[in-house]
Amino acid sequence: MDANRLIALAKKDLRSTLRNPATLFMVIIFPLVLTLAFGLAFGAMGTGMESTYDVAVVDNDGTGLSWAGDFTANVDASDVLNVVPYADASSAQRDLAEGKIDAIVVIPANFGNACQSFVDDPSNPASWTNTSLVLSLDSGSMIITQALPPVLYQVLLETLVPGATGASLPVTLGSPSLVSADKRSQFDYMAPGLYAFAGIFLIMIVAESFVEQKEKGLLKRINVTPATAADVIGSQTASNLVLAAMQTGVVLGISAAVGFRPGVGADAYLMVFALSMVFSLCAVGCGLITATLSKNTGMATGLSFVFIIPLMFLGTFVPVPADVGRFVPSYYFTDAVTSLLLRGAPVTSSTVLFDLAILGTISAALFIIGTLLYRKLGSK
Amino acid sequence: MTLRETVAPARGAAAAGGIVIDGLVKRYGDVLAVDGLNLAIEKGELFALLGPNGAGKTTTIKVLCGLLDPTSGQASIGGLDVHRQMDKIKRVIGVCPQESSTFPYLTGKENVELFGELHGLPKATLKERVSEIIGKLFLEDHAGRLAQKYSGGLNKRVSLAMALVNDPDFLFLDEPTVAMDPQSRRAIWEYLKEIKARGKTIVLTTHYMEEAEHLADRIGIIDRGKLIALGSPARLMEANGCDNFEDVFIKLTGRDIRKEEV
Repeated sequence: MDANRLIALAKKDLRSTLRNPATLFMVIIFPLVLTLAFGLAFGAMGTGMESTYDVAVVDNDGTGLSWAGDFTANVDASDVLNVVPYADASSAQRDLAEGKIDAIVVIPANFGNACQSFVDDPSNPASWTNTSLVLSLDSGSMIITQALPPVLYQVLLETLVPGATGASLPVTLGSPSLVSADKRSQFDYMAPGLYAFAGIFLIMIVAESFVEQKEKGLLKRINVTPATAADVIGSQTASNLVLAAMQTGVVLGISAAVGFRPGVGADAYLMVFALSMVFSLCAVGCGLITATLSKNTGMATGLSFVFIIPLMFLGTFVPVPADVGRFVPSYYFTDAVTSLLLRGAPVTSSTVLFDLAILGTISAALFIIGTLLYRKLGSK
Repeated sequence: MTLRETVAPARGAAAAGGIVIDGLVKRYGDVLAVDGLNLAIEKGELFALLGPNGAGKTTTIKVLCGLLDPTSGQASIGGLDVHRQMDKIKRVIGVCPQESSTFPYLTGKENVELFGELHGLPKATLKERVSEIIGKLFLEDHAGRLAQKYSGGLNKRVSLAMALVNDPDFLFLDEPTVAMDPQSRRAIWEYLKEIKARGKTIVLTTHYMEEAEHLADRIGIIDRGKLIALGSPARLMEANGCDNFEDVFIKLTGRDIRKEEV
């Protein structure tokens, strides 16, 4: 393989791909529009699984009376609220910030005395021991900020005066502090799959490119120069590595613009780029296999879907059982990117490295099979 | 003088630095495309290979360029065996195929540059060669446009420029002036004469009889894979009692319309 010839051919391949409206659409415009559309459609939506709200209860009542327990049990008995007991307010605050819970209720130290003073003489407010529940709420949830305080008041009333619809109480709700929680939208869970989704279509580009050059006699023209088959395949691989990097950049940029901004370091993003490169080898391999089997460009387009469909539906953002996904390389790409960007896994975590190893092995195998098949049968 | 006697004297001279084809056979399944072809083309000669559709002209050129393996027989270019030394041969040949093979999403200039780069031309030489050829083939006004926008004739000129950029010692031109207007064709003829004057060997196939008559030192007519006539245009016309070359061609190959080439 000659470096100068490889660069000359790779430049030709890149120019041909980026200047041809059809391939430019598949490689850059399609992932751009898809990411934008999905981001706008699903970015503002929650995960779609939230039907109850988790309320952390930090019980600081030290009176030994049962009122705090009764109140907590009544909160938990609500159809929409789910009590999550916390030993201290700081860990609850951290989880609220990370979006793991929706609200915090801190029961004050004299809560039992306040409740008991009300029950002992409900008509004499002067004898009551007054106190306040401390609230912290997820500012991003309209339901929590608007509905939780009145719901808590009703629960408190029900605890002290069963059946009452309204009364003055010695326990009031403190002015809630609003916490901006790092919540995931449906799009956030889709974004890693979109990176894979974009790369999958390189299969079609590679297959069509080889078959079209074969049909038009362009490969034969190259064959009568000192360029070798290794130069030709190497240049396709190099140009597709560049295209994969461009696609990843486009999807990252657009997904960030529509709200997907995982708070991870530069190393995680670099690893995403590296994974894209490895995955593009898989696309080149599948593209070469398709080109070998195709007699014309139309057939290459159609046959490429034999690879595209399973990779797309079993290994990107379409929810399928993991046991099924494990058979396709895109699953490992998506899983690694999800670990890096959503689960906050470090680049050296065993999950990411395992996914990279499997993806690399499958991609290398497909690339070698594609190259051997194409050199033996496809270039004739 | 028999055909065998005509071929034989050239063989020695050609073996030194020209093209020698010896008993070449190429079969596609049941179809015999080239049937024991013997031919010797001298270094510096402009040789026209003529024949009806399907006669075996393109197949012969493809074998010489390494695009097809012969069924049997041998051939050499500049003393290099086409079967064993094609890597070396590829460095000294230029090929303009029958179909206008240009990369549609490269400009004319980029197409020509690409082939110079594939031949490993140094940057300065490449720039000089591309500029010279674009000028010689009157492509200056079109070199910056994408090849997909070119007319058939323009595409053919760019295709020819791609074959010439490495200044090859042996040039194979398969119907190089198809789809060109008479002005372009004349310009190409003049350039080919200039290339020949620099000692380059040119093998040309064409269906334009006046092109062969005007350009070729010698003409070989092949039909059904066999060489049926060989000599200078004047000698072939004289030997067949014709005053133009088309009549010679019709006389030797008949009036039947042939099927397309394999």
